[in-house]
Amino acid sequence: MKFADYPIWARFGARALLLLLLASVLFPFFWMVATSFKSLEDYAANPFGLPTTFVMSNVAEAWQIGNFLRLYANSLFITIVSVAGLVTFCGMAGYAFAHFRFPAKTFLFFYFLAGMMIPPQVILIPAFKMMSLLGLVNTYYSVILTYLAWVPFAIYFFRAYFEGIPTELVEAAHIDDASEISIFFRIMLPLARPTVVTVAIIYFVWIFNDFMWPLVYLTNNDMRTVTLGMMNFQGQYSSATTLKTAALMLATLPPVIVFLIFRRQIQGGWLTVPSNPDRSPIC
Amino acid sequence: MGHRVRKSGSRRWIDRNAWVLFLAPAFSFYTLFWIIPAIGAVFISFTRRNGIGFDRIRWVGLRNTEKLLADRFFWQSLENNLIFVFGALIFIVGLSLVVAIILDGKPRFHTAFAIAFFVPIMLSSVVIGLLFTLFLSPTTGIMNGIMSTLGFDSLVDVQWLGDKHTAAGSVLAVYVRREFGFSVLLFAASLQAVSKDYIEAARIDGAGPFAVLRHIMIPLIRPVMVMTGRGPYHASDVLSTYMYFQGFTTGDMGYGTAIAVVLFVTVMLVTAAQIGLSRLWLGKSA
Repeated sequence: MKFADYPIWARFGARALLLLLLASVLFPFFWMVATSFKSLEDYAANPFGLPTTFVMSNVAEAWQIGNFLRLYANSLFITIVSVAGLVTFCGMAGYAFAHFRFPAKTFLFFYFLAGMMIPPQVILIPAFKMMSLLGLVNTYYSVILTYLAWVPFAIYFFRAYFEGIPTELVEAAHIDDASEISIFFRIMLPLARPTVVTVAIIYFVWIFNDFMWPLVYLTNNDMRTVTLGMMNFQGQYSSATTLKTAALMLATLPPVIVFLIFRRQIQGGWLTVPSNPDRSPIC
Repeated sequence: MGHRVRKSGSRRWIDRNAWVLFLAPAFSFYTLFWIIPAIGAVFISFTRRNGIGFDRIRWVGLRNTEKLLADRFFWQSLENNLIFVFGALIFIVGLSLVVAIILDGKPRFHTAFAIAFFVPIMLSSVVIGLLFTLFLSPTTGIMNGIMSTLGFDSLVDVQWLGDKHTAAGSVLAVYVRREFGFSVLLFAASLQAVSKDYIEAARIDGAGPFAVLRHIMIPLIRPVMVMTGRGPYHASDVLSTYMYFQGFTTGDMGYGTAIAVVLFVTVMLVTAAQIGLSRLWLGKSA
């Protein structure tokens, strides 16, 4: 349905709704960024608008207090290792489900999907016990191993992609005397680049923003992730709104930057630019 | 797989069993660190122990569950949880469906709108929580200032998060604002997949735009409804706080896990209800 097909009152209402939602989505971010660059006096006098004098001290102080260099390093290390592992392993599994024949295939596929139904909170306590038995609490392994178990969504996504690759192409790849594993890594995975990027971004954001697993596993100050670091700014410095918004701004930067850089490559309708109409939708 | 041409015997054997190799890593991590703890959760919920050690475990059968059913804080949490889940689902699914339909018509700047709506999902819930604690604070925040500027004089002195009558609504609004963009994406993608032939045929037969929406587009994207609300995801939010408190703060892991298992059952029921409701709401025709 073209937008112009609707009656004028509907178009007017639709535009009003979009603008209202846009304001409610963007204004808190604008406020967060603007406040981060105000002095406390400026904020008290002028809480809504742009800063009258541009102040960098909040960001510098938040960087210092929060030890953001360490927080970024921890979060990025955990996230990148987990995402690399997930993309590789789930790509392999998704490809196996799409192009190999083996016993109990349907059962195994549903076994993998079942995990989506189990909320992480349910397994929190037993998983914590298991990690402490393995002696992995307060190591990066604890969170990375947990994230590597987040396979259902990625397998589902990769399988859907690889099923779309024609069997003739897979057979053609087999005519050279190449092993299955080299066919996968040399031909299939590079072919799946858009899916790899999509899955990687979605998981990057999930893992970078996760709060629960670092909270229970990483109690050592030096291992804290960005989301845990935010707890430093809660309660303490209770009136320093400008300092807190600066810390929040620093915490939101990495996922937003990753999203904005790669958004054109994300599959799925509206996030792609209109000049790429033939991208397949997300589901 | 019958399409291999010239390969030695041992290589053939390896390739025939390649599926094991391909599934093994994902299977191991998933089973070890997700499924086994889930089975453990059911087991632990039948035991009682204090603290982290394994030395003082006692098998108590269903006593944790009985205690739970008599615990009024549990019922209060469950009630809050369910009200919140259904409130959030109704708003998220309704709002995102409308927005997706609007954007599907490709009004001016539709890509920019879609990107803007998606951005809140990029932010951690911790960040969103802290941001809105500041934003809504009656002393140092600006929400009351916005209300007085817009002329809502009755709303200038509100404890947005501090008063139990307004807190739930405030949290719900923040939550819906964060979540609806994701559902917009899913709906929009499925609307794109609706064949343009159906729509054109209906238009030629004289159907108005709303008739097309109601009788063609919405029925065709019905399966996505079930997925969009992300019921299981929402269902676990409030109750899990109580579980964390019992398990880690008071140290009764068995009781904490019993709450978690009930939580899991709740999630299942919510998902079933969600599927049922979306069928009911959209009718059987598809």
